[in-house]
Amino acid sequence: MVTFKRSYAKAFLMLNPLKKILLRRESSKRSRSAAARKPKLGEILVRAEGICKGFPGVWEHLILDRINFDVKSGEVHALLGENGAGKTVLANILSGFYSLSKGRIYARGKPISIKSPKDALEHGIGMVHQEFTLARPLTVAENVALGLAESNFSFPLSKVEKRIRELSDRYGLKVDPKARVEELSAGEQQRVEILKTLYHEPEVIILDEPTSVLTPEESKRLFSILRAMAREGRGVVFITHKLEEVMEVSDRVTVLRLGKLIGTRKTSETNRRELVRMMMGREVTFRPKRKPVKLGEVALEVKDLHVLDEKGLLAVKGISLTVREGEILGIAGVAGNGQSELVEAITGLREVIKGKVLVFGKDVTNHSPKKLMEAGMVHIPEERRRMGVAEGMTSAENLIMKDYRTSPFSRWTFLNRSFITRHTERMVSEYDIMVPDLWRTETRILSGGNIQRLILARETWREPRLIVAVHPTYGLDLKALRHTHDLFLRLKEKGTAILLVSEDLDEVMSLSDRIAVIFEGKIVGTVDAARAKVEKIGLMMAGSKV
Amino acid sequence: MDVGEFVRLRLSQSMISKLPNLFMGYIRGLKRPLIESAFAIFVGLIVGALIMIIFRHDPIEGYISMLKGYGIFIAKRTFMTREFMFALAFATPYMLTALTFAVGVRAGLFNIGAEGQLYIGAAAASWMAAHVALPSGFHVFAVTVFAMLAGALWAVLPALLKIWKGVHEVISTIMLNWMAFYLVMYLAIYHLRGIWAHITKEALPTARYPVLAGSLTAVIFIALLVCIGVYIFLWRMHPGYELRLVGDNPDAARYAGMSISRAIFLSFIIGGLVAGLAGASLAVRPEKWGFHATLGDLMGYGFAGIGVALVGRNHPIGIIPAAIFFGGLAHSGRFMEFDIRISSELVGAIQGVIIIAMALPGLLALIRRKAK
Amino acid sequence: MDNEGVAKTTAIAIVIIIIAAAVIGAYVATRPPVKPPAVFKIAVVSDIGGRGDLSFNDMAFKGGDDAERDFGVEMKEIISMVEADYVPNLRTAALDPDVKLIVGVGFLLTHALIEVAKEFPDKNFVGIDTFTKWVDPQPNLLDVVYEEHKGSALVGALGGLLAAYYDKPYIGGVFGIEIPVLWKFEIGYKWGCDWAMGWIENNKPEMKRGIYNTPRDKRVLYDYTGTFSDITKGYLTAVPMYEKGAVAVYNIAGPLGLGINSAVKDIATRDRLKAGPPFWIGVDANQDWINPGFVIASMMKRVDYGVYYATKLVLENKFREAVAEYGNEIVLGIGTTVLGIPMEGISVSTLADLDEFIKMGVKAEELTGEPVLPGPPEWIKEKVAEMRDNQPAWIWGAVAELESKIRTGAVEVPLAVTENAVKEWRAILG
Repeated sequence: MVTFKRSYAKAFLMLNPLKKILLRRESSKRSRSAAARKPKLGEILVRAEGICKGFPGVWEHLILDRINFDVKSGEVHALLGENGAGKTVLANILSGFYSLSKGRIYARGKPISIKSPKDALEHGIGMVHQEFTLARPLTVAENVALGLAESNFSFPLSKVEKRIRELSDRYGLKVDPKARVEELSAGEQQRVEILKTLYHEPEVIILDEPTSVLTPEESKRLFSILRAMAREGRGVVFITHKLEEVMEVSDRVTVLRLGKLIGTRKTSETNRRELVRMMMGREVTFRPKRKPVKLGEVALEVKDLHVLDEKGLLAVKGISLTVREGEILGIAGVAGNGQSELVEAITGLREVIKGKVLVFGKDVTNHSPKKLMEAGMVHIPEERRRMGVAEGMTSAENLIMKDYRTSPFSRWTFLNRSFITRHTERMVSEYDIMVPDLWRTETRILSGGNIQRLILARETWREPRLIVAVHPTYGLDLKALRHTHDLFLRLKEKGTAILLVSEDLDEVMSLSDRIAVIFEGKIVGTVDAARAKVEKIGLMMAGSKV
Repeated sequence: MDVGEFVRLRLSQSMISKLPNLFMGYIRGLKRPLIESAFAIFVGLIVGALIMIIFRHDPIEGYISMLKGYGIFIAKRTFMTREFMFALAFATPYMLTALTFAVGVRAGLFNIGAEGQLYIGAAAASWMAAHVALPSGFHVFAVTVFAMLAGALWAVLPALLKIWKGVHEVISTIMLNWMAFYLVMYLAIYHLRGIWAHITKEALPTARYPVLAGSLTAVIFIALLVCIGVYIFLWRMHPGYELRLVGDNPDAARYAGMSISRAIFLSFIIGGLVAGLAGASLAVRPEKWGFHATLGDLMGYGFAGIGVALVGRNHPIGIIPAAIFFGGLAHSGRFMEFDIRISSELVGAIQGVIIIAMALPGLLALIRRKAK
Repeated sequence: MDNEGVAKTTAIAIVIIIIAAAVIGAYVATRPPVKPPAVFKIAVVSDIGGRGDLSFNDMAFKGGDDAERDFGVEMKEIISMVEADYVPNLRTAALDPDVKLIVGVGFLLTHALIEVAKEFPDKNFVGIDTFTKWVDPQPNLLDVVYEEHKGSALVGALGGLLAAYYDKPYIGGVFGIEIPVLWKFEIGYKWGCDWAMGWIENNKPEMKRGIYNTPRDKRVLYDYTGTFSDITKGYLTAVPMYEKGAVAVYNIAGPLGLGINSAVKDIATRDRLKAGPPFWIGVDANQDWINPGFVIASMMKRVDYGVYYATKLVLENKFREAVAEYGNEIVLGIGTTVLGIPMEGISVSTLADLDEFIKMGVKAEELTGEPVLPGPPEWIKEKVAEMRDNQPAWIWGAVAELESKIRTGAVEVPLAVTENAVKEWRAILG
């Protein structure tokens, strides 16, 4: 099946010469604009004026309401806001993925119309998406080539590969151009996305939460790349909800809240406190308070676990760990070091070839996910859209995915609609999930943050005894993040054991009692979170022995 | 608070406030498919009219003749119930074979095995109805159940091949369709025949479904009940919920601890049961109470079911009007041929254009799902 | 995502639709006035295959055309694509108030005709080759059947005489599936050959050679192929017959005749023959034009006459009377009459009726867009005439003698429709 899809995609690549002929007119236009003068530093490259956006069906409140925004040559411009603030929508409009309902966009002072991502690239605007837009069966180089007009029948993959190596060397984005995308971890895929856009050498590059799957080290590298690009005269738009990153890298910052422009500040002239106020409408404190909890019995025990990855290579090489009731064990590590395989093996989704998994003392190695659920384990998965929900089904149906078998959710195999409605309504209000209609809205249209809240609600409402959570706050805004952290801590206090796998070191540090660092399929060290230092963990994540 | 006030208050809280919302919700949910379908049929009719003009036929007369398939404007009468019942007679097997396909799609399958399962169901029904003597009342029931089980049996093999060996259902069901074709033809000629070699033996009077009109039997009520039953199964029962979830996202289903194999198996079996019933509806009906050994009475319903399902958006309730639409269309061809001498091939082309136009939205949705 | 693109496409689509609607509107506005329909209509519902089969269906429609021409009625036609179409097609015809007679072509329509005849007691129904009489007779439903055994006897005699003349030991017959209908053909054919041997003994002693010296029960090579559609089987069955020395092979399996024809063509190419022997004998329609010079004659079953006569009966208000008088079935054959009117339906093809069937071939060519006739009509007629002239006149004379004897009842051709009768006759004639 995979080979079939692959050849199919390859056939698509073969059509590129045709595309080239059809696009000749436009590519000449592009070369003209490329030949135009180099922008002066500080010159406004792209300016958006009075941008409004409403999606069909939600006209009553605009997703973007009269937004003014500009990017100057040589600056890193941070776009800050909570989830649902409209940052991504604005970026998508600038890069041609969405059309705007109202407003104008100017490139170097001239009004332009952007109808497609291709148009945007021709005007020198490129975007790196948060959710991946890669063809999974193809290699990295093929994915990059897919977007190129100049590839032809002979298909200069070697040329593309060479260029990718150049770019990844230049920016330190370590990716094997010959690797297949489906075999890459989330972090690696993010790098491919960045490379794909960089390949076009855009004047303005927009990155939508690029650091969410990068290690602190990699983030730092990325920031220096952003700075380097800015120095070259490009404008960099950097979407984030992390204040620290804004303060570290940006020259200016624009804050959005609920589709409205709150203001633009020079980073040097503002401070964290002001930005938080702009973003949240009030100030918040970050570090959650923790009460000491008495540990209970061993909830999860993993002994000498060995697991293979997609390629048939050993990805988990003899990991042992234990999580007790009332404890949060954080697993820190750079994406692609065996976390995914470890979690899938523990949760019954991947075969364990050697070693044991015990839940509350019971051997559940290679048991089905259903058995594991019955043993008291819940799983908050890494790829929420791919695995966490069925996007074509309604929110209510997604909310009962784990409970539908039991009474009172169903009786005599009949689903109890009235109970489910009551239950899901409670979930929606308790977990603050924004759903237009429980029984009608396809989950597809929910935002990433809402889907994550939906999954959290579904998995945690029963106060399970053991949670295996991967990136539980990925893509959540500050408020929701804080809620989730509170939730996890509350559950912990009640005696839940939590295995927390995350690439967000901040999160691991602030929630965990102990932190195990994973590197190349092995636990390289476990440290007490209270006494751990970020630098030390960072070094361990990078593979250096302590 | 007096009683009247209390009642008013309760009403305003529950019924009166909720009812319009509920109603509008349904309308809103229906609006898009209805508008799409209306637009599609309009485009189809326009293209059909152009074809008629190109071949020098009058499109107005042509479409009036087409309406006759639905019992409208026949012999100077506005509506003829009896003719409409003929359209319903065609619609009955369409409804069921469409259900086979739709239940497959809901489980993420492209199950086109209805054709073969229908043949097997017809043979089983014919045998039980004509060659086995049973007390009246029970006999009809036995025929129905036996045909359904036989159809389901024929669906077991592709289901197991899919589950165990990953054999794609399109390939296995097409092969089994042909096997069923030749097997049933053989059975009809050598084992199911009565006095006449070219027709299977007629069903015993105890095994006959009550006739409503012409070739329309009470099976249509069973078919309608089955449609509603499948709807309830898919949306109100948890195995159906599992089936749809597997179809929408097998990864999520696995993650939720569901058995993907069981959902796929179930989808095939339900498909086989209803296709078998479609076979029974065709094998036990007037005027022969049997079927021709050439299988000409049975051919094509399984594949037409795919179109019906697409027009009905793969929804068990949507399939009902779609099947009636198809039934009328199937019946209308002869009127077009008879009234204005459009050749039967051209009639097929015109109907094909209309069907394709109507199936297009459903087809696109299916492709989108598959592409995902 | 690309909303403007979508909008543009939609706009173009709408413009196209508006233009199309305008074209249709203009067409409808300027359409010619509908001509008043004929008051008396007949309808012909074909069997599967429809027009262009050069046999049953085409002949039935030809009968309708002839009735249109002679009686001023209007013929309506409906093609059946599958068996399930029979009833709805018959009903469609019956629903037209002006249609007085509905003809179903082929025995497969038997049950459908009964069903619809019951529903429309005021309309008249005719089934060609049907057996409704045996299933459920209706007062408004008439079976039209043919004396194929007599026609087969005539071509059997022709074959026997030819075999004697060319000093060949056998004649042959390629049959379809062994169903009772075909026994009539088989025994009739064998009986005709046997009659010819008697004729030679009495009238042409010098022709006591070839087939005459073959034992009485070995003169006819015959085979039931078990198919009415596999043309290759016709070829494979005919080849050994010709190799053993059959002078002519009788086609009683519809399209398998084309297989027999291929076998004859092979021999003709090998031996550089311009005309037979070897010959083959056509069935149902006049098939002499298929391979002029090699089809000695055809046993014609005039389905067109059946439609024509039925129309005549209805027009003269004698239809119900005929149904009652003849027990729901009229027989068309040699010397047959219905209510005192001569109505025949079986004959050996002659040069005279070749024309009509060439016309049918031309029509089929127009319909299918593919060549059907082997050459120009004039050439075909010339070749067939030449072939016929090349056979001695006494042979044609003897066949004519048999025909008149059958007509007057001087001889009786056996009608074998039961298994026992067939067994008896096979014991005598092979």
